[in-house]
Amino acid sequence: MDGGNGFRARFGVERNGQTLLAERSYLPGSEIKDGYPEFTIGVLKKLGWDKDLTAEELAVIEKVAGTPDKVDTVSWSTDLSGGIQRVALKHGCSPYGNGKARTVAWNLPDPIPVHREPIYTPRVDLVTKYPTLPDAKQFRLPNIGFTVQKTAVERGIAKAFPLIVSSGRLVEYEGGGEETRSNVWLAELQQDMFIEINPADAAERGIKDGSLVWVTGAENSAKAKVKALVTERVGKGVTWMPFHFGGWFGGVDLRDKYPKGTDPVVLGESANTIMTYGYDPATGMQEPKVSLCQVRAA
Amino acid sequence: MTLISKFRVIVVALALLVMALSTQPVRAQQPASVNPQASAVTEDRLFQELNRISGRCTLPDQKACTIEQPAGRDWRYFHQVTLRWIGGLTIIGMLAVLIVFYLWRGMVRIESGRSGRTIVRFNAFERFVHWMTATCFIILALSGLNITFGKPLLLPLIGPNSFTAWSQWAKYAHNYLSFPFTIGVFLIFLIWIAGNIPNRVDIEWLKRGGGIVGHDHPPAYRFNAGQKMIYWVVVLGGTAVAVSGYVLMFPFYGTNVASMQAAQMAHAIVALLFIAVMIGHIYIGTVGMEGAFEAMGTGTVDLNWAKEHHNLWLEEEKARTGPNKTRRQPSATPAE
Amino acid sequence: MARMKFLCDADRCIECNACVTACKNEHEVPWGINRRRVVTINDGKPGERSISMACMHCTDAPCQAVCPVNCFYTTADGVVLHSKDLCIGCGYCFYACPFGAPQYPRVGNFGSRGKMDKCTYCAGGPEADGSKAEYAKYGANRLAEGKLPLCAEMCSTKSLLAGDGDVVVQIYKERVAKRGYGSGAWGWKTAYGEAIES
Repeated sequence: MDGGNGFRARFGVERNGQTLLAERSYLPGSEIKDGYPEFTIGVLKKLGWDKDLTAEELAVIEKVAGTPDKVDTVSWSTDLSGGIQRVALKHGCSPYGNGKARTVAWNLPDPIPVHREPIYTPRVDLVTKYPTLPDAKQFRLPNIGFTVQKTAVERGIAKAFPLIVSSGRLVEYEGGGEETRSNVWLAELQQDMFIEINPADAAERGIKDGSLVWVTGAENSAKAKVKALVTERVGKGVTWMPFHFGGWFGGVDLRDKYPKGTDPVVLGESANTIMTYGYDPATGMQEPKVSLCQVRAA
Repeated sequence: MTLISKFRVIVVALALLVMALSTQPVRAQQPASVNPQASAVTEDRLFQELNRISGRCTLPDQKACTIEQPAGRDWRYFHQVTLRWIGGLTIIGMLAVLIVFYLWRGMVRIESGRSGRTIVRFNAFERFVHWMTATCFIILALSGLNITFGKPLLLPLIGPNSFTAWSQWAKYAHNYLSFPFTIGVFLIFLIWIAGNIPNRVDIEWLKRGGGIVGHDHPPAYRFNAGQKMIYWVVVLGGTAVAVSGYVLMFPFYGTNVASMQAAQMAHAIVALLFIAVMIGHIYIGTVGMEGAFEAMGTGTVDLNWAKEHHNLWLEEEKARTGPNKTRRQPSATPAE
Repeated sequence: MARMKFLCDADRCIECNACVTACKNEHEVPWGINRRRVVTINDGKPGERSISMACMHCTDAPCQAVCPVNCFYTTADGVVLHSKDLCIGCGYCFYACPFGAPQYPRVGNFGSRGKMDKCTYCAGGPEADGSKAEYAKYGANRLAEGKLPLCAEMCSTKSLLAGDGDVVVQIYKERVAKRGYGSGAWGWKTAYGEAIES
């Protein structure tokens, strides 16, 4: 659609007696001047637009349905002929419906985002008031973030590992880095794994720009040996590492372990070596973005 | 007009006015015209204050992190203009002075004529060190002068390909011969330091102008004041060109572009002055004085030459070794 | 005839290094030779600026002036090129260049300089246009095909502009007028000896 479509009527037509469909808002040129649900054959029949489907499309739709009593349930997302979408668009409507945007995500662990301290946080004073979600089974695995957070506070982890470590991208590299670090043009531009550290934190530790440092993580005695990039890019108390490197582990260069000819031009410590426990409450994705660490001159 | 219709007119007029005003284009808060180079003035001043603008880059080569080094402009002027004037004036000046002097004074003769008896002045090792250093110096001087003067003087004569071939070999020669030259300078320093410490005799010799004009023969030990000056020019100047030369030859091993420029300037200026002085040395050792060349050529000198120019040395030698150290020069005619 | 120039808009450069990678790839520039590079000043502080720097192809090029063997030449459109056959690797062009453009492979005696290499404005060298010999020594010749330098073509934010000096200046002036600020065309005055009038 020119200019885009409206919000998908993803969660049905009503909830708790309130309509989830758009009110007083519709696409220009729409024949339905109101909210409407996702398009199925049933919806098309109610509107009388099912007559606009071609015979071939109907044949495919019947095949997708399987049995005749299920035809009405074939929707825009399961119709392999694309006919439902075509007809909806023909009448100026969005195939996936015209619903309201919601601010309360009732099916997520926190329907409205609330502040929860990270599992490993330097602000231990806030953990009691803003703990992470309770331990629970997530998909097929236990997520014991709450227990890990509590233990970290009790053990005083934040004292031994006072710096926040965050990870992120470099423009020269991509993903795990094996391909882009094997490209000579790109590899020349980022030849060393590094950690960005604030000048104040570096001065406290006697770290000079470009010197080697040990970064230690809060779990499993994790350690990584990288170069220090002393810069104002990160605030005091925060450090940052790029995650594209690999081929070093715990300070040991593993280049000779690669099959001959496969080692990338540039090797370095993997940032995830020092990352810690944590799984996204909705997706179960691991938490290598942020944790706590300590840095000392090598 | 009724009150209501008057009111309507006013409302419509106001509405029209509001519409007229609101159709003015909304302008961002910017001056009427922006000078795209407004900060160019500060840029200029920045360049004058700092000799280098540099920042951070991800490349390991620190030289790549420089945005601009305005000092390059000053160095260019030095190399293209200043240095050529220095070189031209000193070398051509020295040649001119020597030519005029020779035409007027002629060769300094052994006044009492050759005695036919000789004495050893420089042994084989000393002569070897001198000639090794001297030969290297000549080649180093020519190859070095080529860098500054080759383009305007020689290139037009032999064309770019031949000139590059010659310059390339001159550069190799310059780089490799620097080692024997440096060793030679160091050895010269060692073997002749004893005889080159200035003393009162030198002051007297200098006061009498070394006897270069007229028939004066001021006393002198093995090395007179003039030779001592040559010695120190060689030792100090040679050290200076060697140190600056090695900085140039191992570029950016601990230096940055500013120190490389400084090294080049020092190397070039010292070298030009060195060359000018050596032209004088070569003059007096060859056409300038009878009986001088053989001192370094064969190692022996005529007794009368020694008496006239280095009498104190001659006495020392006689006292040390006795009168038998002199040798009769073999006569030219065979015995009958 | 158009007079070719570079202008890097320091207010737009995001230091993505696309220009560097494009140049490296197009001309197969060896490791250690940095024809083009991105430098950031005030890194991490307010007023941080990045600028992409390579040979500016100066009017009255200082490299040309100091070269002892006269291996540089300026083409009709103002591009400063040099002959690697005539170069003796003395390094003087680097001392004179305000932008540090000349690069040298470390292959000479005593680990010092081989033949000088630098940004060619994608205009090759003295060999025949588009020939294998030209590519081997100097890289691609895009100018002979009527194209502009690849670094500027690849710039993700169009901060690096290359082309006819008058056109480039016009674009920059319009840009600065529209957005209301400009750090100035860094290096322009040094390279071309003129200021950009408003």
